[in-house]
Amino acid sequence: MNDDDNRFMLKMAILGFVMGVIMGDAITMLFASTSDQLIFVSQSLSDRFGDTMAFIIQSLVSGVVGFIAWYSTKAYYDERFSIIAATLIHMVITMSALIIAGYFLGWIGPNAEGLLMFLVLPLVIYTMIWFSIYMSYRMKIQQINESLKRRRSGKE
Amino acid sequence: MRVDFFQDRNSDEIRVVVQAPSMTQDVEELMETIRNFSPSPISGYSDGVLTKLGKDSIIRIYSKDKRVYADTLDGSYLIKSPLYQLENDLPKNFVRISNSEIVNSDKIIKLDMNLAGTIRIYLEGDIESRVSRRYMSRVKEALI
Repeated sequence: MNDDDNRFMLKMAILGFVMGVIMGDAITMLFASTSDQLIFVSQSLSDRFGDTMAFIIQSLVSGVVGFIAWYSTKAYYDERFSIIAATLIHMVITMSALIIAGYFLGWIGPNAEGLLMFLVLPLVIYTMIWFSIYMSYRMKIQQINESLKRRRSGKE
Repeated sequence: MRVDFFQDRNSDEIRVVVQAPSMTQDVEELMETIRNFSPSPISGYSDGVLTKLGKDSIIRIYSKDKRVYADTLDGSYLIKSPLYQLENDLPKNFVRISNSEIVNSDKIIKLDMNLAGTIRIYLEGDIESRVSRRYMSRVKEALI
């Protein structure tokens, strides 16, 4: 990657931080709130730090996870890695950050069932990402091969 | 077909005008051939012998271990010019497929991709190589 690519990746990672803050806070609110009360942070985090500080910590940690998730998309731009390798690298890095953040912020329950529930959705999303990238290249290749066939039959 | 020559001392480049009753496939092919015509051949070394390579005969040009090579059906030749310079001098039918390789699009047989997402290109002369993902759009643009 050249300097322009690195600058682009850094910009994307900063955008990732902002997206991480928004998504982390919004998703927590969505899952923790009840019909009569808006809840912004998990109970365990609130017990440890108090509501305001817990919200600040949650926003910062979510931002860091977002930064890591976006920055690790660098793997897709690195030609040494195939699409599946890039997806696996991105998944391992991002999921590790997400699990650590999830335990710290009280998003994941203490038992194995909680962790499993937490992992299922991202795994489905990663499979869909890999499949959509794979299919987009497959379609391009199919179009190119059809065009090559036409060109070559025209020559003969 | 008649071929005429008109001298124009005020002109600083060669201009070819194709005159025909209508635009047929033959005319189109003729114009494409003229567009792709490149007068100066590339010089390459094989076993220390300098050979002039017609650009139409080149299958691919690639760099390996800081050296540039051109593959033809007759063999591989060492080229003294850097790849970026050659890219500017080559006709339109040559397309870059990675940082280290340019191929003659007329010599491409097919492309393929495995489940891991590695894109392979198959060229005349049983040559097989890898297409970089970031150059796929360029390859598509050149061939479609």
